[in-house]
Amino acid sequence: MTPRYLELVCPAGTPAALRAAIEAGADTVYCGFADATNARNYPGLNFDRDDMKEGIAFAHRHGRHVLVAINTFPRAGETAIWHRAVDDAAALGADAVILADIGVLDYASRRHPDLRLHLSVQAAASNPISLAFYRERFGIRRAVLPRVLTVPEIAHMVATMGVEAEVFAFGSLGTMTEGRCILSSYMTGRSPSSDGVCAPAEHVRFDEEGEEMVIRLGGITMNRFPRNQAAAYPTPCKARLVTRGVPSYLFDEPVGLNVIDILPSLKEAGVTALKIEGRQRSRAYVTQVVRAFRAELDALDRGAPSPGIDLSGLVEGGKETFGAYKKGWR
Amino acid sequence: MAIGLPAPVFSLGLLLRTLPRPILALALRRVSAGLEHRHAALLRRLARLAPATFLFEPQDVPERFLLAIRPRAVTLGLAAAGTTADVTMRGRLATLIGLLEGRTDSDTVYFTRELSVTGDTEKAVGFRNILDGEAINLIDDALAALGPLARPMERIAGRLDARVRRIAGRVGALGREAHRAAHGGRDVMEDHRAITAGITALDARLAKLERRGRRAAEPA
Repeated sequence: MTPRYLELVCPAGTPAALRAAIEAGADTVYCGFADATNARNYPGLNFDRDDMKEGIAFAHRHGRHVLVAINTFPRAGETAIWHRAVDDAAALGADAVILADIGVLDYASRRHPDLRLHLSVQAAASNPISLAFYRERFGIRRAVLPRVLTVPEIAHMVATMGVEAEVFAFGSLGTMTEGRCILSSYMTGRSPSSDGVCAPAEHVRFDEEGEEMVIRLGGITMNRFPRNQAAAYPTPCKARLVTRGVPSYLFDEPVGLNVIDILPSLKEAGVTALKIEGRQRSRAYVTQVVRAFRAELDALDRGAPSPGIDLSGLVEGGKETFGAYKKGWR
Repeated sequence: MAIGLPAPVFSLGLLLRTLPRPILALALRRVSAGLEHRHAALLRRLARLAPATFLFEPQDVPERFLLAIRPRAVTLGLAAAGTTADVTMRGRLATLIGLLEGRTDSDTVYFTRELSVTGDTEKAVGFRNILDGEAINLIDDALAALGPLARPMERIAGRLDARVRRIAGRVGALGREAHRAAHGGRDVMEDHRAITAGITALDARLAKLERRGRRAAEPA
C-alpha cells in the first residue's frame, strides 16, 4: 500500500460496514468477534469466524488491512475464549490484533511471534515508561494512545516510545480512565472492561413521559431530555446528575471528538494512524465519516484546501470538541 | 444525513394514505411472503431475536405496522388499534425507511430526536444491528409483490418523487430568497448558526454564574 498522509483506521461492527469502510476509502478496518473478547459486545453486532475470514479476504483483495480487536480483560478462569480469539485471528490472516490485557499479550507474543501486536487504548498506556514495558516485554508495534494527551504530549511520546502511534480522530468520548471504567457495572453488573459492554442494552430503557424522554440504566435515571433537545447515549459517564438540586454533566458532556481541523498538527507530532471510533454505529455513519476523512487527508496530501465537510450532525449531542488534544485534561 | 439514493417516500406515503386498508393488508402479506425468498440470510439472523414484535409508527402516515419475528417466520402487517409490541419505533416515514434500508444512521436520528425507540432496548439494538448488516431496498421488496406491474409502478413512483423533490427544492429556494429580501440580504442559515452559537455561549455563562452563586452561598 502506498504510504498515505496518515493511515485511516476505520470501524466495522458488521461485514456490511467493513465493505462500506473500504469502499469509502479506509486504509485499515478494525473489527471484533461476536463475544466478550472485544469492547463492543452488543446484540447483533460483530463477526463470526466465517464473516471474519470473508472480511479479511475482501480487504486484502482491495489492498487494505484488517485489525482484530481482542481488547477486553479476561475474567479469572475464563481465558480460553481470549486465547482462541487470538489463535483464530492469526489463522484467518488478520494483519494485527489489538490487545489490552498483559496475559493475552503474553500469550499472543509467545504463541504467534510473527503476529503484529497493537496495544489497545484499553491498556491506558499514557506515558513512555508504560509503553516501553509493552514494547520490550511483548514486542508491540503500535499503541493506540489514550484520549488524555495534548498534541505536544503526543509529540513527546512519539519521540520516545519507539512504536507507531495511533490516535483517536472522530467519535464518542468516554471517561478518561480508558480500560478502567467500571461505572456501568455498579448499575448493571456488567462493564466494558470484561464484558465489552458499556450500558448493556438489556439494562437500558427509553421512556416517553409527558414532554420528556427519560433514559434509565439498571433502573437508575441517567438523563431527561425535553422535546427537541439533542439526546445523549445512556452511559453513566454521560449522565446528567443532580447535585444540590442542580442537574449537570459531572463526568462528561455529550459531545463528539473531531480532529479534522488539527490534522497537520497530529502529522507533525509524528502520529502514524488516525482511528475513527464507532463499531456500534451503522454502515451509513461509517460511510459518511470515512468519506469525509478520506477527502480531508487526500487534500492535505496534495496540499489542496480542506473540503470543509461538516460532520457535526453525526456526533453525540450535536456538538464537536478537540477533546484533550488542545486543552489538556482537567 | 443519509447515504445512497432516497426511496420514493412521497409516492409510498401517498399510497399508504390512500389505499383501502384491506388492499394494503393484502400487499403487506405478499411482501411478507416474498421476504423468505429475497432475504433468507437476514431472516435466519433475525430468528435469533424470536419471539419479538416491532411496531413502526410513521408520524406522517395514518397506519402503524407490526413486524412479528417467530423462530420460523417473519411477518409484516398492519397493526390493529391498541396493538402493543416489544419495541416501538416512531418517526417520519422517510426516517423509518432510511433506517430499515441502512441509509440513515440510527444513533444520529436518535441524537436529533427524529427517532423515538421505546420498549425492549436489547431487542431494538439487536434488530438494528442485524438489519444494518443486510442491503435492503424496501421499495424493491414492495414492487416484487406486484409481479408484472412492478416496473411500470416503479417508473411512475420515481417520476412522481423526482417532481416532488424538484418542487420542494424550488419552494426552499424561494423561501430563502424571500428571507434575504425581507432581511437586507442576510443568509437564513448563517443567522441560525449565529443564534445557536449565541445561545450556547449564554448557556455557558449562565452555568458559570450559577456555579459562582452556589459557591458564594456555601458556608465558609
